[in-house]
Amino acid sequence: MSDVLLIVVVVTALSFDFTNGFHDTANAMATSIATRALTPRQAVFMSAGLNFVGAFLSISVAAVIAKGIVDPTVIQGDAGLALLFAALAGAMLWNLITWALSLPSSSSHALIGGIVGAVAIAHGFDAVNGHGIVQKVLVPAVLAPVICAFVAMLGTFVAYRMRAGGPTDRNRRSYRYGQIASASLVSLAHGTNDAQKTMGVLTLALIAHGSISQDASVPLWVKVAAATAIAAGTAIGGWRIIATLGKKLTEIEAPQGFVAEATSTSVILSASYFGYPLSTTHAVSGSILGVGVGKRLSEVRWSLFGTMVLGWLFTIPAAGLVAAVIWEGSHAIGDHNNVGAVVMAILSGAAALSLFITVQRYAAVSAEDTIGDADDRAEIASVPTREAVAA
Amino acid sequence: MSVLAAAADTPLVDWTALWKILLVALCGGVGVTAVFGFGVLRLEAFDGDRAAGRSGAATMGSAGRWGAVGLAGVVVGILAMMHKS
Repeated sequence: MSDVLLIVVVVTALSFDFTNGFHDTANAMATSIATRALTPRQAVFMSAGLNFVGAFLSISVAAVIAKGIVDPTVIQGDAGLALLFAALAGAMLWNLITWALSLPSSSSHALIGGIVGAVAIAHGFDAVNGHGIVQKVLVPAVLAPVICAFVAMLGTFVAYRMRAGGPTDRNRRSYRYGQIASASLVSLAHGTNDAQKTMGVLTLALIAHGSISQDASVPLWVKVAAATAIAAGTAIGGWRIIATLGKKLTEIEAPQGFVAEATSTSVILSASYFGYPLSTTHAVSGSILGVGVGKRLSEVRWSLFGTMVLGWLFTIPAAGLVAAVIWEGSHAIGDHNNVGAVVMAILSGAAALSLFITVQRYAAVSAEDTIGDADDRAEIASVPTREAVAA
Repeated sequence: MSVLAAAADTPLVDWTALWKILLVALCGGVGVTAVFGFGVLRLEAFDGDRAAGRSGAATMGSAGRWGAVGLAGVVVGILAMMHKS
């Protein structure tokens, strides 16, 4: 077995995990930043720490992402490592493309798309389980935002009914503190779900390489590396997507932020508990949409939501296509020997870096751009005018 | 039976799990919000008591009880994370 191929897979997996971190910071922290419950820097560092802790929190074995979706026998030996490399590179590049477009999309779906694309090009669609994809990926992708939007809408209605007398300073401050707790839970849940996903892929790579046996537990270095990569990515702060979820989709006040995060946490955790895999991104996006719909006179930018849904629809085929191209390139250069994989890894890394630098240079979104002002306007509106006081 | 064939035998939508998720989501999204809202209302009442020159100890105690229920929700969430399937 090739050690070089294994190293390429490990580096690509950790790079994907890093992009997963900064892509998904928004899931936990967008609403807390928008309502000024936390400053952007406080939010991302807190989320990074909680993602790190979350990666170690679950006692369950790291989930194997490909289980029930592709034939597991194809991920063996050097050919299996080449497949994993192509899948991870495809998912990482799609994550960066959606980040550049400021679109919150599922990193899990990107990884699944990458695996499906690489396996399909290498072994044909017979090795792909269409039923499994519909059952484990597509059905939850439709249900997660719908359930979250419905529950968040009801929660928002309740929250605003309970402050019918108008927002007091105590009310506003309390919900901001509440948001810190609920956002922390989303970050923890994200760490348990997404860092474990990379742990699963790395473990799969080690099994394919023959470094560990089929029934071995996840090595400690894999846990530490995956937790560190996702935490480091989170600490970078994906401001582009945070701005989309926290400010652009709808204007959010503190009670709405609290409800969105409480709903997302409940759905994500209960789904994990009952063995129903949901995307954190889809759940949080649905919740934010729900709190927008649930508050009277709140504006929801439906065209932006439509674009997000379009991004979700494209994630699996697009990540699959990129993975297939990478696999084919690796095949053409060196029939999946070390040279082919290393050349494609360098090309993928260069493409990712150029995209990142170009976006940062010409269309950067700063931390300050993620702070909303809906709460401030509500505060100003609640202060009686001089005329009203005089009357 | 192959892994792929076994997967194809399971239904597309696990309705039992789905109802449970919806129930927990309603408890978390609506229930916790209501509990938190009651706590905040009691805190506002406490502010009113203090402004009126009363101690407000009973009101604060009531707010604390709502806070404890909310905290229990957080603990349940963390326990669920540690025991996911």
